[in-house]
Amino acid sequence: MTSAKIIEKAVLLGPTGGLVGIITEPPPDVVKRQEGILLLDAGTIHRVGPGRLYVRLARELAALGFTVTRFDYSGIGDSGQRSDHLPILEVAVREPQEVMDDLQQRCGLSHFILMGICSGAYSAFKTAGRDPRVVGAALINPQDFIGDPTWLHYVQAKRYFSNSLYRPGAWLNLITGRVDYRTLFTALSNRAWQFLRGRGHQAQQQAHGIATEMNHITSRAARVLLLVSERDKSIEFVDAMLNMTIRNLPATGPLASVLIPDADHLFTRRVDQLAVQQAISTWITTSFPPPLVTSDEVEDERETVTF
Amino acid sequence: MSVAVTGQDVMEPCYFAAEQRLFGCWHPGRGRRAVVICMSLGHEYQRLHRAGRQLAVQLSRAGIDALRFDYSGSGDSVGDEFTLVQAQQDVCDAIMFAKNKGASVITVIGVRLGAAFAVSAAQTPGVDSLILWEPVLDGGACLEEWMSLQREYEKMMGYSSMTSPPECLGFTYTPELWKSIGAIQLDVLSACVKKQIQIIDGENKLSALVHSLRPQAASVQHVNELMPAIWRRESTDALVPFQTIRAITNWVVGLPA
Repeated sequence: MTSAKIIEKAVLLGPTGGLVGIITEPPPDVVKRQEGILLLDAGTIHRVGPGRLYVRLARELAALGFTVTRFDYSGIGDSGQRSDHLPILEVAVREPQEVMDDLQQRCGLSHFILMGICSGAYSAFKTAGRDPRVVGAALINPQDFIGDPTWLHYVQAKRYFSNSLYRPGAWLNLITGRVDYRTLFTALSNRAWQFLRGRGHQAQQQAHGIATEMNHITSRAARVLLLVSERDKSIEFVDAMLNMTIRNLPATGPLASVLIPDADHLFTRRVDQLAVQQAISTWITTSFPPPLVTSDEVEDERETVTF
Repeated sequence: MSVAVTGQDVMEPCYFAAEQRLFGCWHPGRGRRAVVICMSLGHEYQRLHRAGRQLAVQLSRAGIDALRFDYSGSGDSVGDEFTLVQAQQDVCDAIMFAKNKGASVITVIGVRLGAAFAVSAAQTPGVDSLILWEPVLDGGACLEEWMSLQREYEKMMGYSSMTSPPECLGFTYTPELWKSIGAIQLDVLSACVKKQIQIIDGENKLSALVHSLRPQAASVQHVNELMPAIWRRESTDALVPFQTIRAITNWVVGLPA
């Protein structure tokens, strides 16, 4: 398929050809970049992304010279299920790696930038931690990277404490009944219980593991963007997991963050979708400028950040 | 083009039609009858996508070719602008694609708003049967429902009311498209003359339509068991309406060869 010189191809990816994907290639008159981009499914929404956001992103990034691949994980969208009974958290890392292997052969790409919303952010983060071919990761509304109920309650309670306790509107909601009392009660009582049983410490240890993984990624000069919606609890997850305040991170640099004001988890409003496109384009062009020197020299010049 | 083989299932994703503008997935069966699936639009399509795939897989397993595709300006197909007129042409192109693959008899399935396109293609040579899956008969009523869902969402989020151009649950519509959807009044009757018809009516609201079709159509099957309205459920619910899929597959398999 060709539109305004952007070329899109339907492909079957992975070692068994079971993963259905679309490769969006740059127009022939644009210098092709060495880094390929993978857009990773947001939960059970197939590769076009919520509100078709991934399609527009892929075309926009292809116009900048990147080869962009959107594919469906096994059991999602158009892809069939795997036959090897691999656990889902392992699939989240294995399949992006299999697709990268395929794209290396097919398109000659050797470095990759991974992007994904929600579970796609988990997948991008974990794959970046394991695979040195990943030179960049845009983690969009990342949530629970740990998968432990204790942790979930810890973050939920943190949200109530940090967000709601000092906000008059939250108290008004409480008085007028516009809150989910059950969730509130569960979160706060679990928080109290965790501290009584020392589980708060356990949650903090788990968070330390995530921060170490992030440190590992940025220390090898990969770039990370944390792109979060103001209305999403990913802010609290990121703050708790990395033991920092995401709002204080710069918009550029090895570990950057962008906050989309007033947006929800899946960027339902058009204005928020456009803001995501803008933020991603800006991050890509500043973090991965067109090469003026050899790629090895660029690698050496990148800064690193530690926690 | 390569094909995906998962267990016993074979599927070929491809671009087709003029300028390769339409993305589709071809699920081969035994090659005499093909089913062309016309899905709904916007958030409904997003929510129905996996169900469409599962339907095509079941049809293919039963020996029936099946084609799923994205209309121009939607899904993986070319462009950003969707129009009803273009979608009608897309359905004709999809039918042609199925015929080029070797199918001589075509069943067209219209899901929700896709029923409008299925009905418009009913007189295409080779089309002998239609399946209308919870068809939208009145576009205005459909938009009322969409606006109500959008308002509910906006209220929950504390957002101000719907912006212009209209948006609904993540999808934006041009004022022209919004108006043309609102103007849909589905004329099933004239499209169904001498056709085999199946009506999927999980909410049991279409008895009058079925009654009016019986004298005109070659046959009418009314499936009015309670079935989940998955286009009203979040994509994250990942519901697949197996009961509906089974009813459709069994009916298509039973059609005269």
